Amino acid sequence: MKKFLFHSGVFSRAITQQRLLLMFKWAFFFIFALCLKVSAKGYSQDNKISLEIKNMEFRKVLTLLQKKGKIHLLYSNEMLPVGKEISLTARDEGVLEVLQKVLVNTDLQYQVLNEELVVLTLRGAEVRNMPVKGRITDEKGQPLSGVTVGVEGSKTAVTTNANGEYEISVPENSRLVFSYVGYIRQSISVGQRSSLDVVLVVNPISSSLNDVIVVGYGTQKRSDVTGSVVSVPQSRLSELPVTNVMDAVEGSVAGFTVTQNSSAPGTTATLQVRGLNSINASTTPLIVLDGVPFPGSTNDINPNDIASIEILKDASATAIYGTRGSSGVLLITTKRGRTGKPVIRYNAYAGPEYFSHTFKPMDGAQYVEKNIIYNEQRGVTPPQPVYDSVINLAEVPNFRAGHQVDWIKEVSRADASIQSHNLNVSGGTNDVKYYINGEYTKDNGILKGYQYRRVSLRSNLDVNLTPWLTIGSTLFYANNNYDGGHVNLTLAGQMSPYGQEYNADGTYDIYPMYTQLLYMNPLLGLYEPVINRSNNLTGTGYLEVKPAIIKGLKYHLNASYSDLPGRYDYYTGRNMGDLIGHAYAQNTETQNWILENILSYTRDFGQHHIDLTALYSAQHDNFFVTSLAANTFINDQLGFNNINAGQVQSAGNMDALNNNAEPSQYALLSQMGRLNYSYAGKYLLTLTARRDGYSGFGALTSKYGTFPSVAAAWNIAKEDFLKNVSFVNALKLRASYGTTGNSAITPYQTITTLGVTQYVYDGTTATGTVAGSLGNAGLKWESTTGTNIGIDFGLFNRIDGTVEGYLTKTSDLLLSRNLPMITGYSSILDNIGKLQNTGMDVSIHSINVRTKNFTWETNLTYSFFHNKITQLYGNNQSDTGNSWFLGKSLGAIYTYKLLGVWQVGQNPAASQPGAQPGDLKFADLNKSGSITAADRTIVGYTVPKWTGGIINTFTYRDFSLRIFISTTQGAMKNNPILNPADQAGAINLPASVGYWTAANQSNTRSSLAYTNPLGYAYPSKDGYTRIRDVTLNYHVPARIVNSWGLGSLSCYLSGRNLHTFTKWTGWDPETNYNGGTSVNYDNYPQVASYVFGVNISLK
Amino acid sequence: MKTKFFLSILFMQALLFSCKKSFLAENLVSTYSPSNVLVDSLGFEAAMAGLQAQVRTQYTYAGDQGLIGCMYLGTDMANTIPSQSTAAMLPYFQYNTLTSTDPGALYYWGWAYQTINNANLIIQAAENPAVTATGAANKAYIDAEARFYRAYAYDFLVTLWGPVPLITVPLTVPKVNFTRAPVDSVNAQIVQDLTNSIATLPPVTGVRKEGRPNIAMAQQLLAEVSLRMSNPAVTQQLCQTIISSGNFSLINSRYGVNAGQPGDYYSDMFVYGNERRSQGNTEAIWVEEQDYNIPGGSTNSDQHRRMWVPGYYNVAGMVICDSLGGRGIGRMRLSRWIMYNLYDSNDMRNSIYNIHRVFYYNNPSSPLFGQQVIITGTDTLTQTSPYSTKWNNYQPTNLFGYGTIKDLIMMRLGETYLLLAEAQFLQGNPTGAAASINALRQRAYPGYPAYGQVQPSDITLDFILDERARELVAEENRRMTLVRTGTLLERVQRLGDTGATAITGMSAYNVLLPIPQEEIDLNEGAVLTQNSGY
Repeated sequence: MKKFLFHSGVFSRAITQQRLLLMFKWAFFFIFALCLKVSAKGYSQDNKISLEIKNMEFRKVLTLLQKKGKIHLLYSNEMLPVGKEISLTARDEGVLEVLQKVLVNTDLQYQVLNEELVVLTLRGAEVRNMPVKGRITDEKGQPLSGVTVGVEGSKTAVTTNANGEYEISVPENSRLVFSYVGYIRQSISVGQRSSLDVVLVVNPISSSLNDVIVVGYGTQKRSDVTGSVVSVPQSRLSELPVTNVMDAVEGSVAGFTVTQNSSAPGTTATLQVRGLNSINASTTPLIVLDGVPFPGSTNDINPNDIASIEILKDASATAIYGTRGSSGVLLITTKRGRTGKPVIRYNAYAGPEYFSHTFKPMDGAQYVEKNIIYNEQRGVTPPQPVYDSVINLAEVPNFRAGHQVDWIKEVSRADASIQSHNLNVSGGTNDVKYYINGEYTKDNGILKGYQYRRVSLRSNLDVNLTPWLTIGSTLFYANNNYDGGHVNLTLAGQMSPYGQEYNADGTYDIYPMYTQLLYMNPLLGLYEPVINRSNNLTGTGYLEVKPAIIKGLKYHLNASYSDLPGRYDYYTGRNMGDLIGHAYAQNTETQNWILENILSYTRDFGQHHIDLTALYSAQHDNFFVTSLAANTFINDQLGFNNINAGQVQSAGNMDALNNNAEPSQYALLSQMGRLNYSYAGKYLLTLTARRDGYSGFGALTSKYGTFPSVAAAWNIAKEDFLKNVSFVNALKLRASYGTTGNSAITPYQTITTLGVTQYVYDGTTATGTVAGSLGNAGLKWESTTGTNIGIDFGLFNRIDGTVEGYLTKTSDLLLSRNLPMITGYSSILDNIGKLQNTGMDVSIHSINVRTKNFTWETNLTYSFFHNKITQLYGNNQSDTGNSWFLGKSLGAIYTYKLLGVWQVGQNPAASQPGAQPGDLKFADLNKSGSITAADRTIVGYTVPKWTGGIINTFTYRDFSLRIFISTTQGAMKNNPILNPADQAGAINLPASVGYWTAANQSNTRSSLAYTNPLGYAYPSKDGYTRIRDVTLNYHVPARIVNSWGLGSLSCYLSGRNLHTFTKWTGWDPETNYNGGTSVNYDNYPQVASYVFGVNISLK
Repeated sequence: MKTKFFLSILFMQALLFSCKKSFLAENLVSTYSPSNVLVDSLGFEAAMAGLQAQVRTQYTYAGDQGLIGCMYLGTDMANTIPSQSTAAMLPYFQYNTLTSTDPGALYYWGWAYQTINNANLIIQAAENPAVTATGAANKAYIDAEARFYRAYAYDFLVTLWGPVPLITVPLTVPKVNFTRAPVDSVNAQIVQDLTNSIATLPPVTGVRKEGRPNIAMAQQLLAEVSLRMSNPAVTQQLCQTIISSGNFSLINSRYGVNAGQPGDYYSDMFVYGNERRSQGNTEAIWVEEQDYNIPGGSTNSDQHRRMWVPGYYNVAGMVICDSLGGRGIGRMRLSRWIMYNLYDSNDMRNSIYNIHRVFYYNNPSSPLFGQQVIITGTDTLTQTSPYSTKWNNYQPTNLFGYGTIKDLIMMRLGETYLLLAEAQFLQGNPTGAAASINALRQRAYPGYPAYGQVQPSDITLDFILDERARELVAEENRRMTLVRTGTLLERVQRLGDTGATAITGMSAYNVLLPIPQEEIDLNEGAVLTQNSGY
């Protein structure tokens, strides 16, 4: 136990750990200060008071007495003597004695009820108790059961029944207090009323504690959760024009990093929960959709279907997922039907898309000047005949005609747009509930040819067959379509403004800069027919039995099957410069089945509550790919549709082989147990263990791994000393410790294999085998042991949040251990490394202003982590080839240190012999007198130092305005746009980047003649702050909507990626921009969009 | 009822999950392994195709586009300038930068040991009595082929590095305690392998498939190895066996696909479509085949053309064309010694079809069309230097042509005469040596014997090496030849370029390549000593 809280001096090393420690010190100080303040408060009629009053109005005297004596007086104003004034002196007298003195010469007497309530009555009269009854509802008119109805100042209290009704006997003139977790407490004077109905209003701060959230193999009330489970704010799940829900979530959840590597329509983002817990294996979290591990892409999930997303972050929460838990788990739950009349909803949005930022290449004049300076700097006398300062023959006509081509404009689409339509019907009776949704989403990108279209259908059904038997199904189909050849943004930036876009016949000129053959027309891709589609057919059936004989016992069976066929075909023909024609066709299919048996038992014994869950599951995954490539077609008429007509045929696909996309199978067999125990809702304990068997593990080790965890929490707010402190809505301390795994390896790594190659004998192809990889029969899972400490709080009915710190240590990292090539192999996979992550996540939600018509809420997130490689290979040496350094973070950028640029007159002989003016000047770190590989150093990291986000929501009557800004800071990455390598004389360059000349003496840019022989990749800071979205919503008032015969109607305007603040030079700091000339799907501008959306429901 | 129902569901589940133990077993469904390939004749054939594909990557790999340069730069044959160099090229003419982290040495070292591993896998299985699905004769045939390639790889290693680790059985578990075996041990293994091959391999007329090892390949390799081992008598005997076998003859008349085009019979040998025996090349002993646009026709992107052919189309007014050899980028150029001093004008090997020296504007739309190209500037030689046409390669359907797709002539009869001459000279027989060289001269000089004939008094080792350059320019592995004959340093000092393309910083120790530092570092269990000087 000691180990789990203070794990081997967790908070003693790095600076980040000290920072954590400081945060926790403050947190503990805060809690103890709170306790002290609370204990000072007491209540007694034996209080001694001193006071001196002169001619004070009778009523004011009573008020003063209540305040000074800390007693509660009950009286009605009518009985008080009118105009009577009191003068009085008391020194250390009992409060009741003083009250007695005040009542002298009046008709009044006092009476003490229940030793706490002091009632004033007319002399001789008895205190009358009167019955009061009523009904408590929420704002929607739904009855609230379990509401505490108490007499103010007294311990007398009752709770409402299932219909929200109460009945209580109270002294006349008393006040009733209505309190209910999650709702704002109300105090109402009863007067003479015998009936009092009350509508309670949700307290946005404390109600979230009462929310039931999904925690994996079950649900829990938030206040009972012991591990680190964070919910994506509901506001991120609706009214956002994104095709992939992760694009909306990006930046809004502390400890969950979403990175859009490209903005091209339909590309999916990279997901990461907390730190980097693996080097080679996936750090993508496991996605569990409606309780079942999800084998598809996030594009297969219609954002409109999502009811909630929970992210499991710490070992306690994720250990139940065993070998798949170490990179965190995303639990996505889709909407289901509710009891009630059928509701038909139509949700839609549509709007134009724009470049959020355009990175312009040089115009004609700048281009020509560049070419002249290039020749000067190269010392080349332009060969005769000089092409009028352009480089290539094909540029001459446009140059002489003064005609410039704006290639960025040529490749972009003027009518880029995004739209989405959802039509759903849901409803149900007590026994049958249904939710059916159909979707059509289409993103016509801002570059020509790019598009994404999704059509999806979902049907969720729940049926109570008997009181003890429920069955249901979750069925969905999604079709993702990324069809179409597209333009090439990289080439568009490299084309000469005088290049020839079209041939005389109106077709695209293949080589706009002929005789230059290296750079082809960026629009040629539009000639390429491309079929690129993926489908997801998933069906899950469940059955739930609650046998009456054992109360609290539940058996749940999930059976899920997914079929994921995909298709990818393309053809390049003569019009693209391919003079023989190449066709390619690929079909992939994945089948995945999962069976889960979940047995749970819930029981209360007095104040003790237990919750047991047991799981036995099996999963099998099968992947198959077929591909055909053919070339040399008689003409281009049929594209890839008559692939057997190609003269040269090859089956299989070298690319697929190189990507390890071989047909494969794996199986997973798991058992899991979990115990949740709580005492009085105050002390919470969770114990879990999972045992996973994975087929991909080696024959020399067990195929099974066991992953235990423990977590405890203390709901301090429920302790007596805080229970009545109204400004504390919640206060909970949590700690957890546990181990999770990463199965890390794809199938067949444990077996020595032969690769397949081809050879040729006098023109006849022969398939050959060559030594592939040396198998390691001892491979096993990577394991991550983590500690998490957190505080959840809610204060003043206005602010709530979570602060968490964590430390994870991953061992048995699966690394490709290099072997001497003398062995005939270059490497072998082995479990040999260690990593560590420390970090902190902070989420704060506050209601800054709350008036009748106006509210202003803020959600703030902040997180950072520090990653450290603690062991590599056996020899404990850093791996400079992979940029893995012991004691340093992953993502190190290991390169030369740039000092500036050599200027005319400077002598490089001492540190960089041979350097010319205009060459980059590097630091000779080892003082060897020249720049060699030994002068490289770590100049930065691709991992951000911290990330944060802030959502501000303003609501005025039926309008709401939401503004979301997120930021990523402290990272660097290489910037290919700054590096023309040895091509500065051949291609156009960005206008804003510039180059060195003897005259401008730039100290950041090299001369055009510089060929960058060291391959310096220009690492640059890529921190940015982005206004991600602004949404203005109008909720048409119910009375208007009803008069139109509708159930509800809201509409909104939303803008995405409205502005980015960054020092990055290039298209966008977040999305990747790769160098090179190949058709690159990733190189795509960041997109800004403005959409109008509408949500309608019919009654 | 409810209880029964509940229990029966549990029971059904129990049945469903009484999983077989094999549920987690790993079954290879899509991958070959030695245990399912090297077991029958079809598997051995595939393994041999794989081994040959691996061997071919020696000079056809473009991981660094300049790898071929390692074998020519910094010798008397070729030079370049730093701005045309890749990381693999630079250390081979600026020798002070040749260190143990040299990427070229790393690649070639790795190529050799990967070849050896593939050969070892085959040899082990072919010599395994438990493999019975194929007969003894077939196993011996495959064994002899694989041993030829193993010997070839070890000869490459021991020539360029000196003592090297000797591995003759494939590994099943990682090993990191290698030590260098003496040169004599490596030589003994090479001789044993080749002796075995010569005993079993068929003549070139009897190979299973064109391009598979024949006895002459093993004989010529052993002939060269014997020169290196100072056994010229063995060399002489082997070369004479090849020459007298009747299976090969020097090309001395026009033939093949371009026979009707301008050219000469020497240039015919290096035209795509003419290079292999079945295409009429009677001189070919060992040809590594590459075919344009046939699966398996190439394994990587051969850079020979881009290395040797200049980037003439960078001159405004010039466009890529077939007669100029397609699209080169002139990473290397011939040394000045070869360009200007080596040949005389009567030597066919110096004809305009074999060494291209003069360029004319060839873009009809250029005002200078048809005029001779004369350009000035700092590095114009990358655009218009004289070059050997042996790597010309032009595919009209692939103008850019990243890879050079043509056969690699690894051994031909022309070289047999040169090896023979060298053996004869070393045995004090300059008359025989002169006769051997004159066999080539007779073919190369249309005016022979008035022109070109050599006399016994002309014969020196240097003359023989000069003649090798004349005959085998851009073809033989010049570095290996000069290292083998111990002449690299002296010839670089005497004949190497100066000025912008100077070979600099060369020391005696640079004759042997550095053992890659990664190999030394990864070999944790034993010390792999570095060649002195590095």
